[in-house]
Amino acid sequence: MSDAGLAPGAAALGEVAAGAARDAPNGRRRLGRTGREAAVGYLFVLPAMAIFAVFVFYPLLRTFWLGFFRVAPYPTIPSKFVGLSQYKSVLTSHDFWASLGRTVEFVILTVPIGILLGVGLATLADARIRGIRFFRTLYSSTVATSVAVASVIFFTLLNPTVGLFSYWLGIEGGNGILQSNTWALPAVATVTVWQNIGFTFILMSAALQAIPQDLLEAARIDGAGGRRRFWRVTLPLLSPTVFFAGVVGIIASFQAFGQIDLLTQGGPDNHTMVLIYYLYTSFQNNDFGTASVLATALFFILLAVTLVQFRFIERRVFYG
Amino acid sequence: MGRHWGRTGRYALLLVAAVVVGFPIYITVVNSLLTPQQIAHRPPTLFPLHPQWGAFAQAFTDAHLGLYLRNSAVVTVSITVAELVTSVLAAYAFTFVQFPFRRVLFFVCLATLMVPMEATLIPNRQTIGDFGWYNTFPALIVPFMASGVGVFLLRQAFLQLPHDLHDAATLDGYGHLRFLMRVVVPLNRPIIGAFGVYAFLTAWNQYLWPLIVTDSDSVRTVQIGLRQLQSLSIDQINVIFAGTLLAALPIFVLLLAFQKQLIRGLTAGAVKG
Amino acid sequence: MDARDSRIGLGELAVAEPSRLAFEGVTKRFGDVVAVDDLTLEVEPGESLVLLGPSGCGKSTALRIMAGLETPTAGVVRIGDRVVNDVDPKDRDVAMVFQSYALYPHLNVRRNIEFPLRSRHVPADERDRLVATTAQSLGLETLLDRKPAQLSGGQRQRVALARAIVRHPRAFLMDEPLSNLDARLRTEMRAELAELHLRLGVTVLYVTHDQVEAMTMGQRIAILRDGALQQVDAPRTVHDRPANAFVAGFIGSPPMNILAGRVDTTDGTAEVVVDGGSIPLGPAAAAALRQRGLPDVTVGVRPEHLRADPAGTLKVTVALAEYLGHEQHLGCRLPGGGLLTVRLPGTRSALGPGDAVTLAVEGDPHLFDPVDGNRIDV
Repeated sequence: MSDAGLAPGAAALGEVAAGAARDAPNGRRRLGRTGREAAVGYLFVLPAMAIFAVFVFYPLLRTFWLGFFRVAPYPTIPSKFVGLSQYKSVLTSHDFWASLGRTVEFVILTVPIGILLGVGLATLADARIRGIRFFRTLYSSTVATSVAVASVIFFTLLNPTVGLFSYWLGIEGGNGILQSNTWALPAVATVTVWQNIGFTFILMSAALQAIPQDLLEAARIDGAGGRRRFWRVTLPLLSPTVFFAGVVGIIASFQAFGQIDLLTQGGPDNHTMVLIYYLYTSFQNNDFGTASVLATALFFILLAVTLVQFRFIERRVFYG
Repeated sequence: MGRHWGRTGRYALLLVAAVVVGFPIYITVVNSLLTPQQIAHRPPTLFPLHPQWGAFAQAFTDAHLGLYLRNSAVVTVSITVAELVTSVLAAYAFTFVQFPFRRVLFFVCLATLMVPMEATLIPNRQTIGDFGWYNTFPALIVPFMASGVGVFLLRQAFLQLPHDLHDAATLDGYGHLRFLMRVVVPLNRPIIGAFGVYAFLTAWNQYLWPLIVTDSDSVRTVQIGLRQLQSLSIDQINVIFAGTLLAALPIFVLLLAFQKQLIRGLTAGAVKG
Repeated sequence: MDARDSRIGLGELAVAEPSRLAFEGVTKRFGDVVAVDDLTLEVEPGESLVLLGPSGCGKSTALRIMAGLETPTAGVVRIGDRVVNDVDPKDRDVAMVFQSYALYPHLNVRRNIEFPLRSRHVPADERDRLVATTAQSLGLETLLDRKPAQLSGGQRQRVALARAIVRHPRAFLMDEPLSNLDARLRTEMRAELAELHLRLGVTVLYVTHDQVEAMTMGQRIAILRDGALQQVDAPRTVHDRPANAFVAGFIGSPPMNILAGRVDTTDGTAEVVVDGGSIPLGPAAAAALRQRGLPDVTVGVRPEHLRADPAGTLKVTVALAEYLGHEQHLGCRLPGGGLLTVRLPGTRSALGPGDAVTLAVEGDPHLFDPVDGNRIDV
């Protein structure tokens, strides 16, 4: 840009030079025009970038780093650099694999059932009949609950002595569901599925409504019955949303913390000790080394899942 | 005939599903209006003939619910406003301002979507300690003042604006800030509103982070307050139910007031997961 | 409020002294692509100059450089006597009308028109007066409270014009302002714009890819191709004496027939031998070609300069016939496969597909250098 003098005729060239000499501030302003624009850009992205730098990228790297240090059992003794050995010991430990197993179990118990119920409810409520608004509102209503709200409600209803669910299950006064090695994890999963049903329902309903009506009408004219239309038209068109809900659900289940903390605290006998709760427990015990290794593992597991999801977002970024 | 049965069958299924989905909330409402003795009574009362409202008052006095709700409001509103401001500014810059490394920085923003909060928990807790923010509102607010989801969503929306509008405004003498405030923001109210509702909901429901950076009631949010509530004794079981309802109430109101934005926010916000 | 029932009355509109606009050796590169290539061009004060060319020829980039929305890679841009390379768009005092109109969808017509005044801190009463005068002159006074979405295409176009006029700028820059209108409305707005220019006496730099629009809107036309200026002249000159084969083919509808030929002066009379026969040359043209000394030449013949004549020199076969009411176009196949367009006056001719015809050329053909395409002056 400052090479303005190269191309134009000699007269203009002379004038530019003269102009620059005559009007020095003008010359500076010229530099300033793109410079000012860039300054505005940086100023606008700075707040977000600063937060990301301090609370996302720096701590992520530091988490990896902290995994190299073994924390001594006494706070007064400094932690010791142990290289990869802590990564090795934690990631090969029984506790880690057990917690990972619980987490996978939890994912299997929550994600497919949650989606199935979401699609089912959305399909059920996708009809123009009297009173359907009531049902729709009701099915969406659990989005208004938080994990903590849902957990406290179910915890109280599952109370072994006065809980209504315990009474109905005929185990009142005995051992509670949440105290059962067999049933604790399924119970936590149930609470999670219930709490998420509103969200899944909204997601699936929106996807159903986005299906072009003429496709269904074309199928009807082609003689496809209701069931056939569902399997051949609706479901295939719903599949991106189902996939999406699956990925989102897996990520959310790996991060499920509140319900474990409020319902079982990882018990009974570690039967609900999922990865995230194991991480939290290590952290509470000031075992930052182990906790950091677990956080690193969690990061890479979720990264793998997210990357699958990103391949879909990517399209929206480039072609949106 | 088949059509008739189809409709009846659908209503039957809708009703069964409604009972299953709605029962936990229904029984919470019922139990919040009963005395602990009535709740423990068998067979159980499924309809409160003589509602008792005392449990709601006790939730405020015995379980400090007012304080928790206030703290949650402070934290959530601050986070929502901050996220909106930082996301709008960054998304605007990524759409309408030319500067070196713009693309790179945008991908940096996108990359934050791949970092779950849990992976940064330990150093972040230490950072809060280093800043002297343990048990303060900044600890609950500052780390969430920017959102990769927000930048991404709003940039997608801003890209839809005709670029001619920006050129026209430039010639009309409007700088970036005024173009942003007078044209971009008014034209994108729906998506900004949707993201606002999403941000509010996410912030309101936070659990793990508030748990580890606070231990004092003076700043604890209502989600952590529920943890205290849950540990009330069985003779206050009606207070537990009443308190839980109160904790969920603001979001219920939000849902009713901003149904459209909420639905859009939830489905759009689902990019994050 | 359509274009039909409104006449622009601009008696009350004060207008700033119109300015000269000048590009002096302006080049704009986007990476490896040269969008504008060493453009030197002046628009006289009060003149309406049209930048014409196919899409991607750099005409819009040139306009945006004048507006300050793009910075030139090299060269000098002037408004009046002032070099404006470093001047912000808002300080250049030029108004631009966009193809998309660029109306702010959330603001009503009044707000849209006064938008540029607000940023310039014009006092409220003065602002109201200006908006009222401008709206009245464009027949928009009853639409002031509507949003752009509630307006027809022609009305939006008018609001966009009003927004430009209300500022009293030193020059108007128009980027394909009529492209989004349907054909009928376009013709009407074309007349209105021409009238507007006449009344306001402002400097207008007008970009279009439509040669009909260019011929009617421009006192001069500048034709661009691949960023380079091909010719700048009055519409008649551009049409009658195109500077090169590209301009010749671009201006005129239907386009000029361009043929490859060889000069033949063997039997005393000069002619150009082309596929299907020959085209005779007058003495001046013959002399010019003889002086040039090279046998190959490109000839251009406008469709209206061809007529069916048994005494003609070109033998062709009619391939298609288009009857347009006031005239008729014949697509004629040459023996070598090329197509020659003939434009016949309205009288319905009996010629149809398959007929063999002999064509005569009226007057001298246009002659171009087959290598660089430049006109060979006669």
